[in-house]
Amino acid sequence: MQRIAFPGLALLPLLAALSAAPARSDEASGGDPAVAAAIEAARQHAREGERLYGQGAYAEAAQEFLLANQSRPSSAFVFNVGLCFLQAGDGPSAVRYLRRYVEMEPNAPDRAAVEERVHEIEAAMQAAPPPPPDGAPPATIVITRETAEETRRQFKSSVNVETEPAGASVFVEDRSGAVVAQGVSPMTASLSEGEYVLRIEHADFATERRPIVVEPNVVYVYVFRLGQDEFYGMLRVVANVAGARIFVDVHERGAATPTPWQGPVPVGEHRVWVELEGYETVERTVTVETSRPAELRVELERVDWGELELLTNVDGATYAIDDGPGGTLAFGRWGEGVAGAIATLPAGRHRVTVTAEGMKDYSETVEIGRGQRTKLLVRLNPEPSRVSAWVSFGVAAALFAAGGAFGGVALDIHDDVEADRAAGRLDNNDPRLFDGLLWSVGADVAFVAGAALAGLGLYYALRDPLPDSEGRREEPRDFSTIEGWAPPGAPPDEPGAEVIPTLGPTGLGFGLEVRF
Amino acid sequence: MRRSPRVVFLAAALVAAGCSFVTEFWTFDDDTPVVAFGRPENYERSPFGAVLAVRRVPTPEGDATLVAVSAGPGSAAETYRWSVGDRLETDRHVASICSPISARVDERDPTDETTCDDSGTGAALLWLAAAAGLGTDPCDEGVLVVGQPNAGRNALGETVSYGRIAVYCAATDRTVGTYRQRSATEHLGRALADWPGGDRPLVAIGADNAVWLAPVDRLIAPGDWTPVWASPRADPAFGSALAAGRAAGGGWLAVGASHLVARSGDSWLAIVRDTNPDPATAAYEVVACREDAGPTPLGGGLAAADLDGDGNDELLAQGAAGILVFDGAGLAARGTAVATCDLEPGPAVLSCPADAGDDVECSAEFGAAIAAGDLDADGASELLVGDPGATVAGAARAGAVHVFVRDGTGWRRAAALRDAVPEAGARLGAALAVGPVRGRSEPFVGSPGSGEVFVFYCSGLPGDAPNAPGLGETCRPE
Repeated sequence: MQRIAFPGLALLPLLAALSAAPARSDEASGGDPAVAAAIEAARQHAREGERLYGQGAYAEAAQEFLLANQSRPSSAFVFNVGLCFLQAGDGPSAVRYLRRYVEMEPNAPDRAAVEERVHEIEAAMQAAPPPPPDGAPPATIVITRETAEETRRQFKSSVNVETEPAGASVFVEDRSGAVVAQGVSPMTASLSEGEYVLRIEHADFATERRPIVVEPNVVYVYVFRLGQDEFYGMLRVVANVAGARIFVDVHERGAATPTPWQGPVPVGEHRVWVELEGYETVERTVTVETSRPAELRVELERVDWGELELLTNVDGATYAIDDGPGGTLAFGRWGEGVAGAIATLPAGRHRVTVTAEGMKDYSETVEIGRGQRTKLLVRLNPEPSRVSAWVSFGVAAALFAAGGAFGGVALDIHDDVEADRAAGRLDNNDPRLFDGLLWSVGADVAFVAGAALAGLGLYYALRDPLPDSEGRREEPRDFSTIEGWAPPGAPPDEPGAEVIPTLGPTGLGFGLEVRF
Repeated sequence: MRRSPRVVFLAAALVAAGCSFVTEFWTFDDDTPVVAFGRPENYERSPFGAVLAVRRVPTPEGDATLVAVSAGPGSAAETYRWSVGDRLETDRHVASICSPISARVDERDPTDETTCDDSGTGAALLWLAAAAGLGTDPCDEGVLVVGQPNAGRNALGETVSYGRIAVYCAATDRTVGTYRQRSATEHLGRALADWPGGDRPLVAIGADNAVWLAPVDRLIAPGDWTPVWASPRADPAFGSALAAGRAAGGGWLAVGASHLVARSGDSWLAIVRDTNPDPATAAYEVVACREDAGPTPLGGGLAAADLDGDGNDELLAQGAAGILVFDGAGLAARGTAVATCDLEPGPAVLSCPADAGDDVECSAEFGAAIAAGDLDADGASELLVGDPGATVAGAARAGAVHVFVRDGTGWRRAAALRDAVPEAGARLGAALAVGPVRGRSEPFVGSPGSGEVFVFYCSGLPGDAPNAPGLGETCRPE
């Protein structure tokens, strides 16, 4: 929902409602005491008439309504007189005043109903027997079967509409929007019980609409002071960061204008939001007066977090932040052959490690600026093959095993030889001495060769002819300079189009925002 | 990667352990209780060790123990100096007599073109402590007499002699002379014995059916030798084995004829003594004899040793029942030529026990070589009996030497000398000698089947075992 921040025409109604409740008639009549007295007199008679009607004194009540009409002529009082005679059983009087009402309100929406009712009364009177010739009282004629209360609910009220200046077109609309009464102010409308809308139109003033509720037999006075427009004051908003967006009264996307900004706003209090990508949004309340311009100075502070845009050349590579969990880098919107991800991090130094199967790890400490996005491009280079190392280690293990076996044989021979020497029968030409020597030398050779191969394996394991993974860091960019930047967690833009009302120093306008 | 230092450390430890073994195996041969030495290079003849001779001779540096080894007839005699004074030289090779094999025997006998190989060099070896009067060159540091029983054919193939001895002087490292006997006796030099008894030290030289007795100082002086002829019943086997014992009245000489009456299987043992009561002249005759029938030779192995300490050497002879011991005093009492053989051994008979122990199974060759010596330095001689046909630890004819010690009036087998790794056919014990090495008697044992000679510093006797009092782990003389 967009807000129309500044309507083209402002309405400043001055309303005084005169109802059955006491009211100051001088206010309601624009200060004319005679009019006010007439209205007050009419109100008093109407109230007296209703009271008498409630006591069953229908003829007397009709008289009071006639007095009210004399004080402040209104078709509503005439209609009510008709109803009083109707309830009093005075058919001719009832017909007379009801017809008088129709004459006064030829365009009344209930004209047909009233005329139908008149016909029914007249028909009832014609069907009545003639009056007895002997002077006996005539027979009672039933002209209505409504109860007194039912009839009272049909009393009409007098709705007086005054404007300043006079001469405005007044339209009374019922709930369906149909105009049930109209005229030029000042005017008086007779309305039945119900809800209505007063519409005041004037060529030189703003149109005013006023919903009203009408009770039976009440004198209403509505006074409208028409105005040409609202009162404006000047508001100037200055932020410490150029390009910050300003929202006045409605903080919704699209209603912004960049700082610094100065323009007219209606006088009074206004809520102002100043925001910019990468900064904490500032909300202030400012009072604008007509007498002097208001200036609002805002210090935007950067958010305490930033973003790391991590790009690499291996789809499915993973990254870790400060040795903690990170995420996966995947191909996508970063272009062909580039996998990437954006991580939101607290501002400060972070150690970023990128790993991938069969590739050399890359680590770098990155400074994440507040409200900034730092791009780190990492090229992962493959790890060297360790087959030679494992083969060497395997052969070394085999040689160690062989050395152990040879040594075991040599040990057995040694034990035998020692036993024979202890028995005094070992000779220097004993073939076992040579055999043992060979086995032990063989064991040593195997051990040495094993150690050499283990060393070779170690060398192969440590040898790395391939270049290390490399990384390049780009200068951090403020969020505000990144096209299409959105804060973390923001719902993705939905394709479509939206007509966005915009606010500019020159007034109201509309913009078309199309999203794909 | 972090384990690499552990691997290296482990490898280093294993290498260190392995190196320790290498060192031990490498140095074992210098630190063994048994020293075995084989034939020198280029010595192609086997069985080296079939003939042994060990003798201690005085030298200006001290007493030296000299060793001579051959492979029997047709082989060079290799000489070694085992120790000199307190210095142990072990198997220091000194000379090879008649080596190379193809060399001429003696340039001083141009008519004899018999090569060493053909001459039967090495059939018998005998060390003499001194041999004064041998030609013009003094040779008082040991003389090796080498029997050459097949020498004596000239370039025309004519027989010009029937055997010969060569005399080698250890001090000058040269052969000082040869002697051949032109007589009806053949194969002169097939056996040799040092007969110290009598007024003049003699060398008994075996031949076919005769034994020639030569004064030590006349070894290479033809005409001064005295023959001892066998009885008419004897045959050329007489003189194939000799042993001389010291005894009252000039001692005795035992002559074996292990195959008396050739191919009959009988054997004959004769005792020779000087029967001439006139000390000025000598008459050497057979004064006692014994004749055994059967396949087991009598006197195949002979040795003399004073076992009872009466100053008379007893005669030890291989017999069918074992080692026969003939009392030396009894032998010394004989002074008259005999007509019948009535020589009887003493009651002690050294036989090979059924369960010899040490995985040694005796054979019929028990006693093929006999020697005596005080191995454990207890003042009493032990007897060493070679059994080259013994089966040791399942190795047939690996051979062993049984060590007998005095047990009351008898003898008890106390130990066996054997190869730690018996080799079938090694025939260890085919030759035996006991030689002094730095104050102790050490057995030298020939193993002709394997071409080696073993010196057992540890005989296994309690006083001659590893770590016995005064001995180290190897019993080697310190």
